[in-house]
Amino acid sequence: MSKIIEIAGLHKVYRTGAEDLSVLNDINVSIAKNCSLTITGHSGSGKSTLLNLISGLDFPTAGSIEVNGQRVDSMNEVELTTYRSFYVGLIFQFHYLLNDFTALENVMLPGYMSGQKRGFAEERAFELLKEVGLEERLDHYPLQMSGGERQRVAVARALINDPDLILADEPTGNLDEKNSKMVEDILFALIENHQKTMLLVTHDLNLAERGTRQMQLEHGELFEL
Amino acid sequence: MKKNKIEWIIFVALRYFKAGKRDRSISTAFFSAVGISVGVLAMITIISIMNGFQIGFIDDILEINSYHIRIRSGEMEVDNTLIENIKSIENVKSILPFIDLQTLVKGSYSDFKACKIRSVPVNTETQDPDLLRYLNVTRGEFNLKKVNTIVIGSELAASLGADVGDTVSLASMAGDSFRSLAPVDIQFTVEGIFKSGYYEYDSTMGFTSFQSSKGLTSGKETLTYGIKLKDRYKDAETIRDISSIIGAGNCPVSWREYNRSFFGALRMEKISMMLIVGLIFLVVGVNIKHSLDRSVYKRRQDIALLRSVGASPGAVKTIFVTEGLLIGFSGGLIGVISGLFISVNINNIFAFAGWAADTLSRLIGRILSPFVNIPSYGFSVFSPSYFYLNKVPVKILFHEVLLIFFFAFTASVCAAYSAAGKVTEFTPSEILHYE
Repeated sequence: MSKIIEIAGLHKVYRTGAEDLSVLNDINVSIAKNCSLTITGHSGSGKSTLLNLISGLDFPTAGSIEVNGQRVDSMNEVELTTYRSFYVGLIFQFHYLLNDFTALENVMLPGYMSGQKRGFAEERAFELLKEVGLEERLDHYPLQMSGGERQRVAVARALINDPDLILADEPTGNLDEKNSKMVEDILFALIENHQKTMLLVTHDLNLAERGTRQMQLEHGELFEL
Repeated sequence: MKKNKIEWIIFVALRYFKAGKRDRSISTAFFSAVGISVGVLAMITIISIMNGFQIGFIDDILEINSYHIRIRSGEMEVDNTLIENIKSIENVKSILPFIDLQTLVKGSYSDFKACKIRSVPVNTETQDPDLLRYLNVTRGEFNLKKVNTIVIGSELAASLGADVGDTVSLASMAGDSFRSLAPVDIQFTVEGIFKSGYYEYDSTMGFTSFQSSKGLTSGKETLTYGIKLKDRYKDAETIRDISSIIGAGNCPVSWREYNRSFFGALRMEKISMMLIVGLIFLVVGVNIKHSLDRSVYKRRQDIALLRSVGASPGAVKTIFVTEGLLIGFSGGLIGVISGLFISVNINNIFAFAGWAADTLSRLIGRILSPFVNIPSYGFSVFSPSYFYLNKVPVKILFHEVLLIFFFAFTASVCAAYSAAGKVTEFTPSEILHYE
């Protein structure tokens, strides 16, 4: 099966004053297309750092990250902008919706930004919001929605540009049990329906078990479970 | 920049600009736009009133006294052929020959006053109709057909205690050399009194005919031709045309040279005023910068999110610059509209303010009347009894309004550009991870 992510010898060290804090130590992993990999680990184990490095929001201290054959760690700002637009969809623990925009606009915006016509982006955003069960909430602003609804909007937003890779950082970490279950179901159903690869980090073992492949990050090192 | 990129940037910037409307709070953009509009309003109003005063002075000077072009003829008799030739030049509106005389004038019950008598043809009203319009004869008429008749300024008439039909004495030193100089004293009948609104002319100037002034002169005073132009700014071209007619001997003098120091002072006054009032835009610009700094900081999560979903730092910066552009444009436009409205209606506004202040002072006087006696004076913001004008003159110059709008707009965009620089200071991963 072809690989979508190839990580080799990845290190990340944060320099905090006189001390160096090593968060990731020699991470080596390959992830196949259409796989849903879940990574568990304690708070501060480096899960989010790993996602930030793969998404190009942060840079590694050493090592290489290839996504779809492109070296993310050596991309310049223009290449990173294109990469984040078309190749990855990000879902954060906190939804990070734009409060001045409606649910439809929040989902549509990354599509509009990436060059889609506004009408087309809106149509696609409508379809995605329908898939996450929010067709009645299109014109609602984030502050008018519940936490679960906001996270469903964030899930729809991650898919607007039809990226190959979805990176989810504790997507249910901020939700109650009922909403967590709903978001999980929707997320995994969408990944399957749209044939996406997902890398999900969580400390929720039940959620981690839903992945087709499971790993654990401990003391900066990645282990297969 | 691609069309689509501009579209989404404008879409986001417009939404940020309107933010606050939805949650019923007053947005930063609103306060910034108000700041710009107040600055533009103040500047347009101040400059329009200043223009009104200055252009009023300039027009009075040019139309009554100095003319647009002057030619010292060296002749004592009017050359009608020369007049017709000069009149045939396209930009020439009118031409009037005159002689200026320094005299002393005395009323029946007054002392001697210094007076400049301008000796003109009896048909001046047809040769230079604008002169009569600017002189504004308020009593009697500008009729110099009868011998020894005179038209004098209202302030001069008041100081002489003379009215239409009264007699005043004009004294002059007539003679063609110091030895032959002899004082002459001729009685003139006041035919008309003018009030130009320019105090110097109203208090020291009079008009009489060539025929009437003969007794006051040596008979050897030479004529000056005063020429008025359709477009006074084309004076150089017209002087070239005139020179080709009159030859090199008589040198025409433009209004720019003749009034250089006074008009230069007016210009300097206006530039200084514009610079001082223009400081408003510096203050407004700093205010907008701080407001947008706050806005950028407040929206750091939005910025980080936009960056994480594919917006380049440049595009996010452009959103905030566009917001500044919208603030500048909307604030400037509102300022222009309100500034023009206030400028056009300034006299009504002053009258209303006077009425309101007067009513309020009467009301307070009535309330306090059992305790103190407050005398009531008619209050007026702009009273003709204090100023030598009946109303505040206003002149709106379109290019200056555009210039003021441009200043405001530029101040806003520069401030926004400066504030938008902070966008690159945020690291998206840190903001999205820690906040």
